[in-house]
Amino acid sequence: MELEKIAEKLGLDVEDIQELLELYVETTTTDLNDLKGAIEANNMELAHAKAHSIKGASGNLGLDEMFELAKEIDDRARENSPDGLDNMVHVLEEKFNGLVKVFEKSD
Amino acid sequence: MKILIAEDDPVSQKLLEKIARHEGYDPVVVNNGKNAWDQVKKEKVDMVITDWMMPEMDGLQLCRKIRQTDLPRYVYVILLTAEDQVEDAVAVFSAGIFHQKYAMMMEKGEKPRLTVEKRALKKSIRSRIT
Repeated sequence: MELEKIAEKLGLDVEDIQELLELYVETTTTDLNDLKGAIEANNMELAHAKAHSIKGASGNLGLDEMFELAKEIDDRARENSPDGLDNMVHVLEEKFNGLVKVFEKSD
Repeated sequence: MKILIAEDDPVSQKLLEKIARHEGYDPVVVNNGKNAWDQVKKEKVDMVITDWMMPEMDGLQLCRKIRQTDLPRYVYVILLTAEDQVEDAVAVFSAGIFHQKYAMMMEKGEKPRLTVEKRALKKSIRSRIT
């Protein structure tokens, strides 16, 4: 993860990106927990809202793999198709945890 | 030019605000479409950059309000969305947004969305002809 590349793509400073990534980690941690709870409770409306939120934030910051995984969950929740969502959210969480480690190293 | 940003996601909100400031604007930021509509009525807003899915009033409802109201000036609207289904694009067109801007979207996401937009446009044109 090169912060300089993201910064250049968005036309911002590296300090701005660091601030945004900190905010991203904070909000996505909450959204991810809410998403897991929603899937466990089979609440597809809430799952759709939370996956949509993760998708939007990830996409805007250019975190493509997070975007694609969240999008898949979002699409399924929107279509009220809960099968396999628990596995998918697990993959999303692992990807997110990996990203957090990378962000911490780049501080 | 006065820019209003309507976005409920804190990350996207901060990102849009930073980009607008980098471009030399002093944006007003609100959390939902209802607050955005209040601002459009009260303040001299020239451009609204809005998310689609928001509480209270969503981006499409906001756009409809803007287009259906006789405001003293034209207000430009940019709708930011990652929704990529044909019906999504048709809903966007029907709210009075004919050219979605993807300025804040990343390269990888652009292609399918633009493809959907073309398909939806063709479908919309066909439905008007028949």
